[in-house]
Amino acid sequence: MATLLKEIVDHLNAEPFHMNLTLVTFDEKQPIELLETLNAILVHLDGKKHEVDVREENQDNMYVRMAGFLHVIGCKANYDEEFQKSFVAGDKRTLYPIIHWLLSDLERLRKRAYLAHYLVPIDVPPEFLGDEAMMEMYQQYKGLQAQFKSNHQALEQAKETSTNPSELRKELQQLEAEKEQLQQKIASLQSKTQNKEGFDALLEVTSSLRKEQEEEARIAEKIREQRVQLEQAEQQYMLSTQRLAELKSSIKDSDAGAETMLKVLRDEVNRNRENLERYRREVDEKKDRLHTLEATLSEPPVSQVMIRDLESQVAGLRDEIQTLEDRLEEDANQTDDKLTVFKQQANLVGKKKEIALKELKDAEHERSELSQRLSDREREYEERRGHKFLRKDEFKQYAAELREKTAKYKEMKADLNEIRQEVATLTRTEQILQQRDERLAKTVAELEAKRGVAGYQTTERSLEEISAHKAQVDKSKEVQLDELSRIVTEITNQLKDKKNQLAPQIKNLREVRAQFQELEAKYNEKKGAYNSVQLAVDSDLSRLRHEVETLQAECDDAESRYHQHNVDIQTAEALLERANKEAKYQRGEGRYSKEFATLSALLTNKLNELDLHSRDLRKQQKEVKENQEPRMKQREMFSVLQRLLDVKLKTAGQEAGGMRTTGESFRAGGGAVMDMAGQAQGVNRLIITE
Amino acid sequence: MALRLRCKVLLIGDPAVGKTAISQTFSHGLHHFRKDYAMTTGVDVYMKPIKIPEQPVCVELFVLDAGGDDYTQELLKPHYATANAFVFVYDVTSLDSFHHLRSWYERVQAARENAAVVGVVLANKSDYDTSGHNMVKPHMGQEFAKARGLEFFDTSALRGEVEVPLCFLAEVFASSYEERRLALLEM
Repeated sequence: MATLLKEIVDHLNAEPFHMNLTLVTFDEKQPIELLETLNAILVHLDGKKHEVDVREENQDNMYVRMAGFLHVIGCKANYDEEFQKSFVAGDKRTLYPIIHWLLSDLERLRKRAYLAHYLVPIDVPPEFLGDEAMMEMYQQYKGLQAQFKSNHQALEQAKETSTNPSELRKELQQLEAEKEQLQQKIASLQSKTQNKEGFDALLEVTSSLRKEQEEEARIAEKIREQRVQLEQAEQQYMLSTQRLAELKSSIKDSDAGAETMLKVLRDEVNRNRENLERYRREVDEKKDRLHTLEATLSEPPVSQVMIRDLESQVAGLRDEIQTLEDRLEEDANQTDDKLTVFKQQANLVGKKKEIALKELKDAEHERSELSQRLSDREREYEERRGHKFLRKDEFKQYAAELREKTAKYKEMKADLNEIRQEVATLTRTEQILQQRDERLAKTVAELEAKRGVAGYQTTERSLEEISAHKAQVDKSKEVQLDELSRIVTEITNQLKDKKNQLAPQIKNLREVRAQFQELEAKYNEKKGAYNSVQLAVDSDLSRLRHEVETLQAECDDAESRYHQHNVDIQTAEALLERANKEAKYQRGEGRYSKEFATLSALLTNKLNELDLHSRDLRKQQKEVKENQEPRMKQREMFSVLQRLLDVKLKTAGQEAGGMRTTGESFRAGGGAVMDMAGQAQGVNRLIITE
Repeated sequence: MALRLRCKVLLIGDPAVGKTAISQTFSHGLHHFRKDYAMTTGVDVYMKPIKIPEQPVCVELFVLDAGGDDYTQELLKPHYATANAFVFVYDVTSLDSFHHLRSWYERVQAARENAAVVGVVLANKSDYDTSGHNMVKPHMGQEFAKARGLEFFDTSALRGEVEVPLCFLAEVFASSYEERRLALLEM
């Protein structure tokens, strides 16, 4: 009920009622006021009928009006007398649901009310329909209703599909206003600029500027396009270079050389050209075909009639051809007579030509045979003579050559003779000179012998040799020295270079060393700190460890003590229980056992028993103490007696054994031993005295 | 850090078989052996830690000693169910003390319901010569022990020969603990 009330109030406060109600004010409304509210809603739904002052209206009329309307728009209620009574009285329980129902779907109900106004059928009793005029009217009415329905549907559809005309109108108005504004602007500008000087030039400049700007934009576009093209070209170039590289590598691989390569490429080029040609042809063909197809397409579609027409046309044309051919034949027959002469002549000439051709063929054949024979002969000749068969001019050439060579040969022979003569004279001179040399040597030796410097010449020669040798050695030495000095200078140079190279590194090294020392100092410092900290920590650690150990030991002790105490507690509890029980027994509530009323009784009894027992034992002890000495003596004597008896038993056994042996010996040798045995028996006797 | 286990051991037997002597000798050494007899009237607890050889385990034996009389043994009854081991003591010079062991054992068994009775049988005062009549012969004690799944030992508190059976109990306890731990781990 509360939510219902709340929704009603919300709806009434909203569009289109604006009643400014609160829950309380609405709930406190008088019945008549409620009916007024309901009426207001009905007025909103269907204005014309309900604009009545409810306060002044007859109650019955009001009910008929409102309930009829509610019934028409489909409010669910049983419209009986009770309902009427409560409705007229303005009962909340009846009116709230109706108001709520009305408010919850206001728009739909409004439409329904509107439709109901026209479509609720008028109930005409069938007896009136018999009247013709009435029937006609009724039919007309029905027709109008149907028309209304269709119109309404069309309207709904139109509303859904088309945009709102008022909006369109609004837009139009706006656009017109804009247009007006622009025109005003232009006019104001024109009026402003009219008086200015050089405006035309300015206008021109600005227009040209605009044009140039457009041009610039276009150029930029073009640049962009060309860039794209450039990119494409570059790509192509890349591809080509790649291909070139591939080809080069293939050349290297195949080792075929440029010639074959070139040939291959040329072939390829030719092939490509052919392909190009072919493609061009194909393109042309395709274009033609395309044209024809387009033409056919552009023509109006061919109908059966047209085909028939065309076919008949074709047939007509064929007939015509036939007739023309017939006529041609006829014409040929007519002109034949004039031509026969020429024909015969032509035949004769043809025959002659044939004969000549045949002769020519024969001659050629003969010629080839002859040349064949000639070559055969030549081969034969070659086989026989060993060299090539020479023709005339060849022979001539050969002879000329021969002549030339013989001339040369003669010349050379003369030269040779001359040279031989000269050789002979030269050998002769040599001989003479040698003789002279010998002679001179001899004279020198003689002179040396005479002057006492024999062997001077040889010595001199050897000296010369040695000096030459020395010069050679010196030379080589010099060379080596040069080499050495060169090497030394080289080494020094290298040394310098290296030193130069090393200098910065050494410098670096020094810096690094300084750094290293610094770091080492720092390191040592840190290490000292670390060590001291470690020591402290270690001592702490060991102390803590010790502490932990002692605590652990304490803990263990405590634990075991805890267990011990547990046991003690259990024992103590048992004791306590016993004491409690004992107290009970003392008070006479129950007995300890069958024999004893209380534990203390048992204990006293036990005590007494033990007392007695101890007394007995003391007596025994006393007795034992008193009698111990004589009894010990007696025990000793008994033991001695036992020993004696043992010995006796033993000897008796031996005696019995001796008897047996003596008996045997006696039976063997007589009774000589009997006496001895009797003596031994007599000795072995013991008397016991107290 | 050695593992510490706690084992509660009850000394059970007739009066004057030497229970108190055994526990005192065990916990304090031979020089504590008392020549005179003092009847134990309450319950004494002796504790001694025993190191298990070759294992990081230390078993603290809590030995509970009560008088042999019925009314003092009563005080041990609450411990019957919770004890870990029992020491049944008889006197080799007293046949009665041996025969009474049977009823002692039955009493313990009844109190423990389903739990097994783990323990040893001690033939105390073995320093006496047992060849005479009225003496309990060793085989009797052995048979008694075997029939009940107990271990049999000769002891003499006088000579200080009590360590072995108690150490044995400690080891048995430690090993059973270990077994149970492993079983739980497997689960």
